[in-house]
Amino acid sequence: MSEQTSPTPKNSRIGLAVATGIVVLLIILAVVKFSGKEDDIATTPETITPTTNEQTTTTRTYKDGTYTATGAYTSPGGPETIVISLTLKGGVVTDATAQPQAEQPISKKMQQAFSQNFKGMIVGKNINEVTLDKVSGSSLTPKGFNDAVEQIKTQAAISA
Amino acid sequence: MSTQYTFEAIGTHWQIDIKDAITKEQSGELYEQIIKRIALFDAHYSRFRADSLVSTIARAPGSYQLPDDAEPMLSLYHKLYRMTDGRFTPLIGQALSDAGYDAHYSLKEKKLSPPPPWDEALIYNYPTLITQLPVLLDVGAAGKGYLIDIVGELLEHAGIRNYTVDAGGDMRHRTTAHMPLRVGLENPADTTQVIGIVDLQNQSLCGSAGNRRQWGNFHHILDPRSLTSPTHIAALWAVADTTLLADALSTCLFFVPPETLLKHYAFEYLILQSDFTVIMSPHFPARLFTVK
Repeated sequence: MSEQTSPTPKNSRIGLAVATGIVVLLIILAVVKFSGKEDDIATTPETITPTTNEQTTTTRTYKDGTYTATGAYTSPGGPETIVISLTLKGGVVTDATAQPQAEQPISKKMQQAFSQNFKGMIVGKNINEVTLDKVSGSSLTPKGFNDAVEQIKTQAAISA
Repeated sequence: MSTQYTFEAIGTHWQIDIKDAITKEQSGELYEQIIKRIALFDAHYSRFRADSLVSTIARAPGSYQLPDDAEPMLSLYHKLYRMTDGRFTPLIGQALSDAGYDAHYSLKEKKLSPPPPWDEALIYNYPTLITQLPVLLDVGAAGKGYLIDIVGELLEHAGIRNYTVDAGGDMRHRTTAHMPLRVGLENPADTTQVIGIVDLQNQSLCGSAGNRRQWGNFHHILDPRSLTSPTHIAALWAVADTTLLADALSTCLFFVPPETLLKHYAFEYLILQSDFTVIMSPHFPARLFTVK
């Protein structure tokens, strides 16, 4: 029953992870570009390399390291800033944090919510790679339930 | 010296670990008490048993005397019913059954009707419950957590201070030695994996996900308004002082934002959304594995 009960195929998760990585990178680049605080930003040499992706014709490579940038914007309550740090290794974002700096209560709340969600993509680790006392998730199903699912599948196969 | 009981009951797997030293005789007596207590709970609240109180209530409207243990659970249901605008409701039994999650696990969908509003169906004044309509009650969204607490309290009554009661991954932990329990959070997309580790200490942890108990268009949580199973959340976990509360909140969080519930209850939460992004309370006691 594995193929029917798995809600998220692995490939699409990997795809999402990559997509999110790119989105995060684009956000960071936008912040870096518009922050205007050159001193805070570690600048990197840009090189143009060919790419296999049909939709883009150029890509940039970046030096390994942690980059920090301050993003400034105007909220309805006045100007606000947020500090974003990200660690690059081999062109891949390996860590990212957002530090809320907001002063207006509403902005504060929104930045906190953003920084909580910012880390983004969650990945699984094989159970045998970690030391655990227990595992918690969806409750193991009763035998009767699984039997019923199997019976329905068998019936469906016969009538098909 | 530790003691472990494992058994199947109320449709799930139980594992009870006792870290205090107890005699073999004590161990046998305790096990018997636990099994009897769970059987009594099942006889009251199972909608899958024709002889249960819940099945009796379903046969005819009327005035019923509730068992001694009903008050904490039903009062919590009543409060959360109001806080969630009627979406957390024990009146969901008939709709769940019609969706196919019935006594025979037919898993065949019939025409679904929304559950009646609480005030039209029930007059709850513990220890009396008056049903004004024929109602199939379902306490599945809090009953297991509550039963875990009942079993934990039974152990504490016998002088045990260091233990874990785990029923299908929902659990209550107690220690006097500051020894947290390391609990892996199952990856709903791949049950051979975990997405993080919780250090649970003197609290309860309950999880809910749509990847098991899934059939047709449904899983075990049904939104009484849309009569569909929510798909925006892949899995979520709640940590609270009691398993009753953690269990109930882990269903409520499918329907209302955490802030609504935090106004009334102390708890920590982790919501794994269906796109695998996470919403987590600041003090949820977990380390998560993120994209590297």
